[in-house]
Amino acid sequence: MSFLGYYVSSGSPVHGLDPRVKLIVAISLCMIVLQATPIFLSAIGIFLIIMMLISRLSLKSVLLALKPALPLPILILLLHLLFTAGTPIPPFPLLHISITDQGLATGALLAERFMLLYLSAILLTMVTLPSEIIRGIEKLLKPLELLRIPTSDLALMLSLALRFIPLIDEEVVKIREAQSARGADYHAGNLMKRMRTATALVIPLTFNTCSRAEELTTAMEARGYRGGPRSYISELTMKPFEYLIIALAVVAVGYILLS
Amino acid sequence: MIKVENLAYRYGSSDPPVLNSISLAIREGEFVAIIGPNGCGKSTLIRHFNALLQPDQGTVRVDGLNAKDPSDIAEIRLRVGMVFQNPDNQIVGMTVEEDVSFGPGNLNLAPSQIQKRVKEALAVVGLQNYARSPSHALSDGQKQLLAIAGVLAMEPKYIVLDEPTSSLDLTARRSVLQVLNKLHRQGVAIIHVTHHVDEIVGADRVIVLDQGKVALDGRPEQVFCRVDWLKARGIAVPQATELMWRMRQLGADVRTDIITVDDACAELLALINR
Repeated sequence: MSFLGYYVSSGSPVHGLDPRVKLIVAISLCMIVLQATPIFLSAIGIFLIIMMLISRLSLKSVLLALKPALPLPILILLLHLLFTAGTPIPPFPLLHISITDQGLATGALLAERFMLLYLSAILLTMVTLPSEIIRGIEKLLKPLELLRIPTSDLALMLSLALRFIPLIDEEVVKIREAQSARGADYHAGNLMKRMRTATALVIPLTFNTCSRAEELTTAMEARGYRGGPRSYISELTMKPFEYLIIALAVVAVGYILLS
Repeated sequence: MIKVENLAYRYGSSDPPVLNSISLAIREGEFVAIIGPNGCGKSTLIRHFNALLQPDQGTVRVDGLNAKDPSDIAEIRLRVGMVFQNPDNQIVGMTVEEDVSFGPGNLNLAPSQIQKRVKEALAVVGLQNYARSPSHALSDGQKQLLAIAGVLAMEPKYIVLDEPTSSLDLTARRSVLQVLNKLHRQGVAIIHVTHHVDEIVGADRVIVLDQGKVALDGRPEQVFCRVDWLKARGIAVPQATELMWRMRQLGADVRTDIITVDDACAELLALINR
């Protein structure tokens, strides 16, 4: 899957956990990160590194997954450094640029928060298959069925969307090649011209995706799909210690939010 | 038995009819090839076999179940599996195992039963070692085998295939055909729409559609010996048949109801020895 971190199968105990446990822990971590003080943030950083080690993920693979997200925290840090008023840190102000202690503090805190949020998310996707995540979400949303929200259909939609990502990827390459072969240049000209060339990509892509979707629905109908609850090849079951982990996560979130 | 009587169908009320009073019956365990020029109505016809389309006129019955009756449709789709041309557009699951379990999951079977069916279906098509592989990473041929496995997991009595091999290379085509022959030997009826002559030769029966009507219906050798008629409609005949036909045109006294190379050799040897 070409989003966040790729699933790395290492057979660790974390991989074997029920997806609901991992989802709830990841969500709790995100909530804590948004509220926590700098000391707590470091503790969460250490916790995530320990999780990475238990999950037998290599530092390299995690850093590689982090890389595309780096520009944003760096930008956050830079903006805060340059535009926050406060006491300048020597040797500033230099050439009308001043970096203040407040700027450094808030910038670093926000950048750190962002990195920890992102790290929690990629660790989740690296130790959980997309299909497991969707099953987990479906199970967690189950109570919404009381409100007549079709959770199993929503889960199927989500998984079909993921299933189509690599296909649409391929489609884009194909169309781009076909257009290039007929002389389209995606990098030439001013912004207006480039946008017009992009239209030539978007229109056939939309068209093809729609006809794909139509064929897919026919095939799904032919295989007996009628909407509504379906059964799965394996049933999700939680062990007592997994309930304990969820309870701990909930208590931690409660403590942070209330303190 | 799939029994079609006086079937007529048009896509829009102002469009010309795609199918015109078609009557035919397909027995259990039969291997039927359906051929015909593009636009002759092949795909439209077979979509009636599992109630994806409902007839405008006439009836389609599967083992006595009426395709027009909404309460029978689920049972019909259980009995008649359908494999389409483009495997990418019929694979639902992200992994091989998940995709095969889609059909049984729709039947709300218990997980243990689904596992059993998935295992069996993957073994039939030879993908048992790919159960956990991501479905989009398979080769085109493997994807089509996966699509067949997905249908097999429903344990159908009839499998309808709409040009499943048209985008495959020779090796992949052969493996798909091997699986079809295997299923046929196990007693599953195969209804195969194709453009490849070599895939028809082994069929029990060939139905040729032309302009929405059944033009020819019979054993492959009975159908292919109508070389002039088929050629006029752009339908290829086996090379062995064509060779016999040309020799006959040149005045040789040979049979033209020959479709395999072996039979052609025997006939030529007989001619030489005469």
